[in-house]
Amino acid sequence: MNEFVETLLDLPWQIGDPKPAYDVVIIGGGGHGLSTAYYLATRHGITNVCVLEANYIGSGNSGRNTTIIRSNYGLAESVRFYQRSLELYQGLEAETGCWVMHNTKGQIWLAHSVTAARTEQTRALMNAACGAHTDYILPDEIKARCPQIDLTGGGRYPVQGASYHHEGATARHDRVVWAYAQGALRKGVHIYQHTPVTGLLTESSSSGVDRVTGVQTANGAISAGTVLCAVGGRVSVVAGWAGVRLPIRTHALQAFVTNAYAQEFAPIVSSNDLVFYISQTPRGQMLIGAEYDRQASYRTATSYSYLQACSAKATTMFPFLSKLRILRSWAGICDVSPDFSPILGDSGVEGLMLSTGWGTWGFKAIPVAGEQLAEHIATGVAPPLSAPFGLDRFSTESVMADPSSAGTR
Amino acid sequence: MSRVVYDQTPIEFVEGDTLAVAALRNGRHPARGGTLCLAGDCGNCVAIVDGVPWVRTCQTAARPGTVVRRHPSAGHPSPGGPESHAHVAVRHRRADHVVIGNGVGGAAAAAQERAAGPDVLVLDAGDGNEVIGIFDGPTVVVRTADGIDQLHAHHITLATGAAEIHPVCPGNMLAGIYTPKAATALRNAGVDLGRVVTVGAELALLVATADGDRVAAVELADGTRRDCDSVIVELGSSPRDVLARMAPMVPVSVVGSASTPHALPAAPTVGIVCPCGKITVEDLDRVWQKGFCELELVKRASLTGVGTCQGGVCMPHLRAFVADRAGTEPQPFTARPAARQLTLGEAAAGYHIDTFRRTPLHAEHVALGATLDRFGGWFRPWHYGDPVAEYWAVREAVSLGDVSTLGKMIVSGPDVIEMLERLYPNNVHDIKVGRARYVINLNERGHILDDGMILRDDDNRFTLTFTSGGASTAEMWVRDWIETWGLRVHVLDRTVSHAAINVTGPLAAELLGRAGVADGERPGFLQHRRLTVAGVPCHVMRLSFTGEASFELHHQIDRSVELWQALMHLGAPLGIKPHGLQALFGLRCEKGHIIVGQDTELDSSPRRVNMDWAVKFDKPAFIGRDALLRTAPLPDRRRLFGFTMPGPAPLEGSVIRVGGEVVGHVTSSWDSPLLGHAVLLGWQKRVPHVDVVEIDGREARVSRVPFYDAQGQRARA
Amino acid sequence: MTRRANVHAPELACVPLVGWRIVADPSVLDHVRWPKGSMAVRISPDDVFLIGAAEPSVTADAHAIVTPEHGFAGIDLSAAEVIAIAEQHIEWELPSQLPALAQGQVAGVPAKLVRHADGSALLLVACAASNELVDRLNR
Repeated sequence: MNEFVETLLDLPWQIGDPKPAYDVVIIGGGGHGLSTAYYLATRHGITNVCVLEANYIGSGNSGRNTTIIRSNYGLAESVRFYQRSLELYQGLEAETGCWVMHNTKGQIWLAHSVTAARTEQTRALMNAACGAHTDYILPDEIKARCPQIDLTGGGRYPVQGASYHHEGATARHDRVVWAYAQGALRKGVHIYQHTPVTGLLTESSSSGVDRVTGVQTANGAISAGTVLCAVGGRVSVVAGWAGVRLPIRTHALQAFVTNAYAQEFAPIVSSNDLVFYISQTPRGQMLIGAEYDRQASYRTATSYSYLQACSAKATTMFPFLSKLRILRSWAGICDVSPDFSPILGDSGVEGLMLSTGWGTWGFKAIPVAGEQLAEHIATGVAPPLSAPFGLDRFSTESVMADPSSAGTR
Repeated sequence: MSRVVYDQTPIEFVEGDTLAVAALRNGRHPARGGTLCLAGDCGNCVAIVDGVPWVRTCQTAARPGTVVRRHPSAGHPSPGGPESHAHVAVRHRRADHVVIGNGVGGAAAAAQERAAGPDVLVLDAGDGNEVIGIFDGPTVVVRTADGIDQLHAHHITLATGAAEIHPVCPGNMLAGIYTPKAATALRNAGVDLGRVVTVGAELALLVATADGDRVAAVELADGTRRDCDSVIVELGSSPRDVLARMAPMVPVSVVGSASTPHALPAAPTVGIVCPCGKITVEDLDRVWQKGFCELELVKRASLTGVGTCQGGVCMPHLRAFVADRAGTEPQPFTARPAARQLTLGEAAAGYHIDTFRRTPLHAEHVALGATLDRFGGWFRPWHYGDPVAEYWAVREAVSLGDVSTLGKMIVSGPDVIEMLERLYPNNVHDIKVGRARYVINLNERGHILDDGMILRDDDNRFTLTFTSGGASTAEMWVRDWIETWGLRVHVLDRTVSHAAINVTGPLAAELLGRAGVADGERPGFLQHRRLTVAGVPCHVMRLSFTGEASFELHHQIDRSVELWQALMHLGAPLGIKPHGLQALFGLRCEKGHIIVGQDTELDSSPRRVNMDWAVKFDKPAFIGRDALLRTAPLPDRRRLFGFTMPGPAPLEGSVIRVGGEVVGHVTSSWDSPLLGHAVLLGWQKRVPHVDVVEIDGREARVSRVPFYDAQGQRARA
Repeated sequence: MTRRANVHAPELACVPLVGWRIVADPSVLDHVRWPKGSMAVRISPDDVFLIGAAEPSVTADAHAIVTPEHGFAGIDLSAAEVIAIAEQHIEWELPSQLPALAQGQVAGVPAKLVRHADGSALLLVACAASNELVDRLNR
């Protein structure tokens, strides 16, 4: 029997159509929408919640990412936020009883120049001060942790050092989505697939939309005390229905996996200068990604130049990869905010809350964002960990600019 | 007869054999078992070929001495140890029309296109042209017998035909099972299949031999049993349209059976559906029962269709399964490159990650023993062995620095003043000819993008400089704004055409004198002039980043070595030494000069770095003005400070704390040899800002900057 | 892994070029008659790289920038070498109407290909990157 199927959880779907009203309606049945529903139900006893998914659950970026969990950011607020997420991930299997294939691997972030070494040194020091376990390490230790590396970088990118993030981890993306879905369903949350939201129910005055009171779907309206928009890509469209203009640009992020090989590559390795990252999945595939496409777009097609660039970078640092075979490439779409940090919480219009700006760092934040938003919805107050990431930061000169930590530029 | 080595045994092959056929000719299954299509559709013939795992042996020609090993029977093949890059040739080719597939449909399409005139290229996997993907362009990427072809085409016709459906039943991973076309190919190759039984949908069970590896008999739905050595299973076919499904935005015409709807097989009831993942019908059922009730969820939950063949074998069965359970026939899932397999080495071939640039003085630095490092795509000297000695040469004698990488630009035109006034937050119109001014560049958000100098050459002509890091985008930035404003200004970027040597130190003027510059000719502080220095025509700019009197000598790059060598020679009696970036960063740190990108952050407004003085609101427009006016009344917590503390200097990046709380970090840190203590720049991002902070567990005090020569007398000397 | 023997061209030589750079109104540049024997490379509508001439005079545009240009190096290529290099190192389509100037990456290095009427060409590259280009073409 297939271990993967054997350990699969079940999804106890509700019977029947959506109710006409819920306390909370969440648009988007990806990791973020489902984790918010889960924490509303489990932490705050709010179970009169409905999650509406346009396709199938996890069909968006939750199922199109590179599954890396880490907290080695550059700003104190970000380190604390992602560290909380990393810790929630560590406890997720115990809490939900679902095997999400969580695997602590450690992440090496390489520096190939003095400038990059300063960045990695800075990262390590700030991480350590804010509760994340990161050290600056030298080439000998890098080689010990990852014997496959060519420390000369093909003669062009000699490794000067790296930050080493001990708790860097991966988990199976789909299984995280399903774990939260199962937990939410068991508490009585409703989740409807193939139910696209086509509009918002609003109360308006001459000054525009005053309040969001629910959502419109093809099968009718559903009213809600709070609507949370947790969609990827089309978030600007949804917010636009409420007259909210979001500072979001959407870009595609491509990645690929090779065929499966014996488990020999232990850590996650990223490169500051070369901008790529690599890890081996629990199924043995080498997973390789790089920065998101410069051109803004909603496309999820992949390009050959990306395969070329990524392969060139990866084989430069890891020559053994040259003979490995590319199996499948894909792209997810990344909603990128001007400061490369998420946008969480109030939209500025009553009744509508946001979870967006997830760029290339959405998967790692699924637990913490759900937890924080659930608390925000339940109490009406932005909790300390997520408060710095409010939309209002762009008008109050307190943006959270952390471009070097996004894993992409 | 030539031989290949299969699992350490030499076996003979016939000219024209693929590795799979060679194996079968010798009574071996090329992998371990499973239906063979010999058409590249499945993953049932993969093996390790010359050290490369996962190679489809049915698509790989046998060559004398090829070493083939089967994958381990359990687990996955080892990726193996480090291996040098094998050279893979890359070829860019062009054609008006590319036809993929040379079967009946492909030949017809090609003939039709040729009749219309265009240049038509036909690619067929059977001829050693495996198309691994169709990408934007459109570009067809082809793996050929001897390299990778990138084929840039205007029109693409897909005539890839249909793939034969594999059986799903107990025993379907045994050896000895063939599709009709595979059997025909083997017979044509003269391979003896022994006793053959041909069956169709009535197949119920494949019975194994005593050793369990090969087919011994078939059992049909009606219970009849027929003994055999080989089974040909005829179940129809499904469109081989993966290339079309992977390129939805690229116009591809699909013809022939690749475009014809095919009936799905009967829903599978028992056996392995996905040979790559060894996933059974029972697995699919369990997944379905657990609530994963649509094609994509079944795929994701069971991992059917994500192996080597990417759904090539299992897709018809999986769709039939879902159609049976759900009552509606699902569309196939999206196909993703690579359709055929491609190694990373092959994909990387011919690709250059980036281009490193060298200043004309590169060889001089190397000869002087410099440790070079890359900064913004350039190799630059980090130090020449003793950065502290280099520092002292600047502070006490004279030193040369290679600043050729600075961004340099000439702007000229009737609207040039108007353009520069809008571009920069500082005033420009009052810069006199022959004078220079330090400026910052802001973006529309009022945040610092870069800094540099404006030098007025003439009434309507200026030289602009940018940082080395900012140089690459400066020209585009300037041109974009000129276009946007519709102003008449000519722009010429000089970054790579002009080199620059910074002559700095209290004896810099003396050295220039020795190089032929008369006392009266030397430009004063923040002045610039065209002069001949050591016989080389130079644009001499009197600025200072080091804090000492400094003359930047900008000149044509082909005179650079000559100028450098002359200055080093003339300066020898003055104690001249070149200085690298490490010493320079320390020197400028003592002066409190920021480095954009190191001391600034993405959102650093002028006030955050104490540079309000570089912004003049008494002009109607400049980039960032509206943002700065809007944000000026807002409370702001973030500010860059200078700090001093006893040495040793903490690491750059060290956290700054107040009362144990993290308030920011150190951006620049330097043990000042002259001052005898550490000087630092760093952020306080929490209010109230305080005078005493903790860095590295030690006390540090906010200090006025510059830390050194606050009046700037030395730079002006 | 598939392999194809590398096509070894004879070592290509890259020599520094000396010329002038003229930036002026496009309409003015359209009508300038460049000195006999010189080569004028129209890099963009407002920008000419003039090789092999004395300082040109562009009086019709009072604001023209006319300055020595010593920042480029050039590689002379025969028609056959152009084709061979394009096949291995150029992703974009060579201009079919000759003479022509094309600009883009050659072996990943920004370059300009000045193609003459007979198909031969002068490949221009910034001296700062010529090392990399020559290395890659000769590899």
